[in-house]
Amino acid sequence: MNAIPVYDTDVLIVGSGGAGLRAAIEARRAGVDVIVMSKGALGRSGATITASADVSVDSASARRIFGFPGELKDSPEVFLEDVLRGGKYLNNRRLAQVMCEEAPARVEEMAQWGAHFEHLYITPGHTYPRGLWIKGKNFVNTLVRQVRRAGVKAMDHTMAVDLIKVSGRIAGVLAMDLASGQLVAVRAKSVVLATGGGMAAYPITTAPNDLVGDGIAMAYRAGAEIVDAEFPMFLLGMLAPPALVGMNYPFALLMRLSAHLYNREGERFMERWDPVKREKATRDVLTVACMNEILEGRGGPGGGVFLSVRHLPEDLIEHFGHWYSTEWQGKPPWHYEGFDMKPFLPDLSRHSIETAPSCHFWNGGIRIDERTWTGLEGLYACGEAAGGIHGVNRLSGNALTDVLVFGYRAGTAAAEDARQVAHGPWDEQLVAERAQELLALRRRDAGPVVGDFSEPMKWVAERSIGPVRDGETLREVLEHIAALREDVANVRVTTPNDAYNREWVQAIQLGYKLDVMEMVARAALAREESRGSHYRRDFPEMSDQWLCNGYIHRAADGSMALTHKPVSA
Amino acid sequence: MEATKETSANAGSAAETTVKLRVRRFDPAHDPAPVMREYEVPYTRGQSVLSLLGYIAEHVDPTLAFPLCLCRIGACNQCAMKVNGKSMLTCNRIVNPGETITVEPSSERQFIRDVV
Ligand SMILES: Cc1cc2nc3c(=O)[nH]c(=O)nc-3n(C[C@H](O)[C@H](O)[C@H](O)COP(=O)(O)OP(=O)(O)OC[C@H]3O[C@@H](n4cnc5c(N)ncnc54)[C@H](O)[C@@H]3O)c2cc1C
Ligand code: FES
Repeated sequence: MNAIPVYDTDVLIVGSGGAGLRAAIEARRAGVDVIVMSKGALGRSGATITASADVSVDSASARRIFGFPGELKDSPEVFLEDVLRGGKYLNNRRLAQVMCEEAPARVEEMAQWGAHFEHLYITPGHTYPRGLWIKGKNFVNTLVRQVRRAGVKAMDHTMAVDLIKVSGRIAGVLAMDLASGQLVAVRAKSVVLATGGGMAAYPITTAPNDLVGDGIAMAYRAGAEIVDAEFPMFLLGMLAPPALVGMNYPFALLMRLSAHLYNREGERFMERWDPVKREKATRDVLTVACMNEILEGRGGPGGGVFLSVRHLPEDLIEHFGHWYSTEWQGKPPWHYEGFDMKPFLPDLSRHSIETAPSCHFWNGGIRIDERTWTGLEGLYACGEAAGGIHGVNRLSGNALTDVLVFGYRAGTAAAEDARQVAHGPWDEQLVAERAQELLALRRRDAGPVVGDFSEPMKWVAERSIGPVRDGETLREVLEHIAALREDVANVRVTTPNDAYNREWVQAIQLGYKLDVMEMVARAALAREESRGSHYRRDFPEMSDQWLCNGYIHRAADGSMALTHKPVSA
Repeated sequence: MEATKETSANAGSAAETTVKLRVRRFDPAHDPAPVMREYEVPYTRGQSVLSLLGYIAEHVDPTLAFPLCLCRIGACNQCAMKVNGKSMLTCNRIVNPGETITVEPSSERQFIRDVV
C-alpha cells in the first residue's frame, strides 16, 4: 500500500455546514492555520443549506438591531425560559443561557457581513416574535464568503473516517479523499467536529441522506460522552411519491389546507387522540398518533397512514398555491426551495398519500462545556453534532442560532488551544493499521454487501427507535443490533474503482449508523417515562424522577455504557 | 460509444410500465472510453431522475457513481447533470412513464467518475 500522505494544520474543522463555517472564520481570525474538511462541497453539504430558514433572537434585540417590530418585553432571559420549557427542562441550562445571550451579537455580525434578514415573525414555541427570516442559501453564502476571505483552506469531498488519538490527545483524523479513493491523514493541534446530526440513520428523514452521525460515532469511539441520545426529533414526512420521500414541507402545506388523516380502515383516527382539534393537534401529538397507528397494524402498504385533501374542490387546491405564494418568499406558487411541486398537484389533490414520522433533528449529541470542549484533549464539537442545548425538543429557529453561537465559541477555543500547544506525538503505526482495516473491506471476496443491510436496518429504525417505543421491542432490537454488528464486521465492497467509491463510503457508514441506533435504543430503554419526542407505550406519563440526562460512553471492554446524572445547572 | 444493457431483477412482469435510463459510465483511471449503460427499472408515479439513480445503486448496480451528499430539494446544486443533453437538477426532473432518459455528467472540467 502507498504511504498515507499527512497534512499539517493548527485547527482542523470537520464539516462545512453553518457550525463548521462559523468555527472556521473565528479560528482563522485568531491567526492560526485552519482546514475545513467536508464530505460534500464546502457550504453545499449538510442540513444548513436546506434550512428554510428562521434564526431566533430575542424580540427586543431584533427590534434594536434591525428595527423590526419586536416586543420590548422580551429579553434573553425570557427567551431562555421558553427554551427550557420547550426542552422539558432537560437542557444544560448554562449552554442554553449562552445561546440566548450571545444570539444578538452573532446575528448582528451576520448582517454586517451582508446576510439579509427579511422580516421578524412568531414561530412555534416562542412567546414573542423571534424568528428572523433568511433564505438558507443566503445564510450559508454569507458564511462561505467570510471563510474564503479569511484564507481558510477547504478540503472538499473528503470524509473523515476516524479520530486519531495519541497519548490521550486527539492528534488529527484519518480521512478519505472521495475523488481519488486515497486515504489521507490530517494532523492538527485541535479538531472541531461540526458534522451535523444522525437523522439519516433512519430511512425516512427530512435531512440530506449523508448525515448518519459520523462525528457522534467517531467522538464516542474516541472516548467522548454522548448526551440525550434518546431524543431525535421527528416531523411527519411523505412516503411517496419517490421524489418527495421524507420531506415535511408538502405535508405541512397540505395540513394548512385542512388535510385529513386516515388509517387503513378509513377511520379519521385523530378523533380518538384529540376529538376537538383532530388533525390540528400539536405536531408531537400528531407524530405519536400516526406512529401508533402504524405500529398497531393500521397503516398502509407503504408503511404509513393516509393523508388526503380529496374532500376539497380541486380548483380551491390549485388556487391555494397562489394565495400562499408570498410564503414562498416571492417564488412562484407551489415552489419550495428550488423545487417545483406543481407536477405533483393532480396526484396530491385526487389521491391520498402515505405519511410517516421523518427524522428531522438530533437534539442529543457530543457532550460539550460552554467552551465547546468535549472533555477529550484537543477535541471540540459544535452545531447539531453537539448535544445538551435544546433538551428534548428544539424550538423553531434555534438550530441556526446554536450553529452561530457555538460555532463561534468552538473556533475561538480550538484556536486558543492550538496556539498554546505544539503538535503532539503522531502514531504512524496506528494510522497505518486503521487504514489497513478500511482497505480490507475492498479485498474481501466473501461476506454480506451493503445492500443486504437496508431491510434489517430499516426494521430496527422503524419498529423501536421512532417516536413510539416500548421496553420489550427495544430489548429485542438491541439483540438485533448486536447481531448486525457481527455481520457489518464482515461487510464486503464490490465496487472495484478507487474513484468515488460510494459503496465503500456506505460500508463505513453502516458502522456509524449502528452506533447511533444503539445509542438511541439504549437511552430510550433506560428512560422509563414519556417526555417530548420520546413516547414509551409502557410508561406513557412524564415523571419528575426522570429529570436527569443520560450519558453514553464506551466502556473499557468496548461495550456501550449509559449513566444518568441530574440536569446540570 | 459502446452500449450495454442491464435489466432490473425487480422489474416485474413485462406488462408493468418501465423507464429506461441510459447512464454514461466512465472511470478515466480504468476505461479506455465512456460507455452508455442502459438500465430498465420499474416506473412509479412521481419518480425523479435522482431517485432512479438511487434505485439503481441500491437494487441493480452498486458500482454506479453519483454524488453522496444531496439535499433532494433543489437547494445544493450537487445533483446537476445533463439529462437528454440539457444541464438540470436531477432531484427536480420528474420522470414520465415509458420514457428513455440519457444521463451524463454536467461538466467535463470537474468530472470524477460516471456522473460525478
Ligand atoms: C429541511 C430542514 C429545514 C430546517 N430548517 C431550519 C430552520 O428554518 N431554522 C433552524 O434553526 N433550523 C432548521 N433546521 C435545522 C438546521 O438546519 C440544522 O440543525 C443546522 O443547519 C445544522 O448545522 P451544522 O453545521 O451543525 O450541520 P450540517 O449543516 O448538517 O453540516 C454537517 C457537515 O458535516 C459534513 N460531514 C458529515 N460527516 C462528515 C465526515 N465524516 N467527514 C467530513 N465531513 C462530514 C457534511 O458534509 C456537512 O458539511 C432544518 C433542518 C432541515 C433538515
Ligand atoms: S439534490 Fe440538492 S439540488 Fe438536487
